[in-house]
Amino acid sequence: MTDSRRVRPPDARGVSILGISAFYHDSAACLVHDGVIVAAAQEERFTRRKGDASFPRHAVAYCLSEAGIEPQELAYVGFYDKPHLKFRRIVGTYVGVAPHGLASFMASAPLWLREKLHLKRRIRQELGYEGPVLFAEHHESHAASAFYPSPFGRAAILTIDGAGEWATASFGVGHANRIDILKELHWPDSLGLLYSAFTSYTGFKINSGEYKVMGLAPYGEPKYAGLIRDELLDLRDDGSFTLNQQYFNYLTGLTMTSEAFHTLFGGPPRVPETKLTQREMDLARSVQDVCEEVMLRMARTVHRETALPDLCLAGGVALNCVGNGRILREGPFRNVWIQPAAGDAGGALGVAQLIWHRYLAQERPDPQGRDAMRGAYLGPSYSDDQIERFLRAVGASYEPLDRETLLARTARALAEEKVVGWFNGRMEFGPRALGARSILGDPRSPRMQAQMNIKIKFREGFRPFAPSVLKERAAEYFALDHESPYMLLVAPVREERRLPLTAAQRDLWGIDKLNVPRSDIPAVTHIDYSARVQTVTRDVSPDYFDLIAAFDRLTQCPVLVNTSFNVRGEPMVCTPEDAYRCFMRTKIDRLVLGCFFLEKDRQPAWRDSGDWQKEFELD
Amino acid sequence: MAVLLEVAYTVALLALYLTVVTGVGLAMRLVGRNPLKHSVNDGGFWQRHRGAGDRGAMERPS
Repeated sequence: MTDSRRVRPPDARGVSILGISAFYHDSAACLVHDGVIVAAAQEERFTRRKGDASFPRHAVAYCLSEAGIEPQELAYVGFYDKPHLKFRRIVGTYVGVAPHGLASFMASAPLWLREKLHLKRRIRQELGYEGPVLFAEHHESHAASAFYPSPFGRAAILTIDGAGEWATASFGVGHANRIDILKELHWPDSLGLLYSAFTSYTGFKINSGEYKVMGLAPYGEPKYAGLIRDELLDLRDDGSFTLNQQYFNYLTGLTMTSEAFHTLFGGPPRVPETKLTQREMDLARSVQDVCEEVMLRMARTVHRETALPDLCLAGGVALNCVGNGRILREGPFRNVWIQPAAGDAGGALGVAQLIWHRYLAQERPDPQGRDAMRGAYLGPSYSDDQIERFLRAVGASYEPLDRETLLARTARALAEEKVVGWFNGRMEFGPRALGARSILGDPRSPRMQAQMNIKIKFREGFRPFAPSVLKERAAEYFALDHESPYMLLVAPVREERRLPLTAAQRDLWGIDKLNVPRSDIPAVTHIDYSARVQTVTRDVSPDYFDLIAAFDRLTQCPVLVNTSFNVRGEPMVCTPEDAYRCFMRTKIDRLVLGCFFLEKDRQPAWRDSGDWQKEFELD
Repeated sequence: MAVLLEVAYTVALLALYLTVVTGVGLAMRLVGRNPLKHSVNDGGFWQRHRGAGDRGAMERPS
């Protein structure tokens, strides 16, 4: 029953809605005012704990301050899933597997009984807020985050992730201010969890290592894809599937895979941080191939059932940009738009927009082909005054430069193969650095990938870097005829840019392929000649666009290497202090903080107390 | 005192699992019902979405 007394109609000051996602992984907050996304941020950026799942009190405080309001002025607070429904699924699972599952029950039950079942009270306590707290289903929040900010007036929606309440994937239709979920797949059959099982088995952390599995896949052969299709899942033409639970342990235990899984794939899981072998590469390639096949089949089903030409994607699996690229190239849709915060963080944005459009029945203006994410630059920014106060306080050596000089100096440094930390404007919402908190480099340099991976990011050498390219020049470098503003599409590097391989290079295996230059932009060309492209436009990212344009004038190359401004295990930098610290701890050569230009060799000596690399848990 | 309460809480959870959860689970499976299924036809097939979808549903955490 709807309690109409609690519905607050829009008043003259407008309606502010706070969306929250929390308590699983990557908690976040988002503030929507009269339907406009004012601010959104992940808690990890403030607490400096990667994937922080705790209540996002810092992110909430930031969102409120950005809107200039107090918690009491919020009209609604929304939570991105339905905790009681999820609890029913969890209890149903234990009832289904008992007496097995005791260890898992003992680990999860206390948290549920003490906290998660009393979310409304917890939210009100945390915020000092007495107004309505509303809940959306997990996949509805994802669907809303995919459709409402999209550039489409009407579109099909597909969401795929690990698990929500019962749903693990869903599809539906968005039209004007309506979202109708048509069908869903249910727990325990989950594409996200299948991928996570292999992430864990290949020695990476679930919920963060999936990206590494995707990056590792091109080094391998799909030797195990048949085994996965034959034994692990019963995949149907419509993209639905059943997982053979004999091989998984997530229903009953504290791990993803069972002994039967280990036997099937010929051994125990790889111990984290040990040497990667061809086997892990083949496993990664195999599960990636299967994942892409399922995504494509699902996309075709969604197209068949909705008969719409445009598709919106969200959910953690929508961060699989290789799969997204295949849906765009090989699938039936004319356009695909992917929510940049496709994981659970984006649920905060989704539920806030659902409250505005569904609960308050507010119209959604025709987007006229423009998305409402504003480049995903929805986080905090810092004025030049604030930055200078900080730089003075730490005794840094810096030069304030006018815009043109700053861009020219930075472009010149990049052309000289210097690595530049680039801190500009509002921080990105979502996992990708898009030119606000980025480390930049010259993509033409054959040394750049190894240098950035090992000396700057301190991460695994096999991991590829992504290119940012001026949108109007993208087709010169990549076989991509769509925008990719959020770096969520992988496209092939154009044939004419590729370098021929010698016979010896062709015979290389596994990680040995890494150091072979593949194109005239080798630092961003993965070993399968693919690249995870960000197309940059001046209207959304004026400074970043003009920087790439300045680099192009010097080098005739409108492409930069763009990786997130952090080291391994560290969340992306948020404040000037985070950025300066990362700059001083690593081999980044130059730092641009707002209008200030810093050179490493002019900085005072930097001292850390203890081993700073232990500060961040490896991801 | 806090430690004793914690121990009692843990024992209570253990007992809950081994008696109620296990008992109900075994009984349901004995009569052929699968608690892991959200709906009768569940089992990895696309299911029609039910519930939610309206503003009233957003007021409930379940």
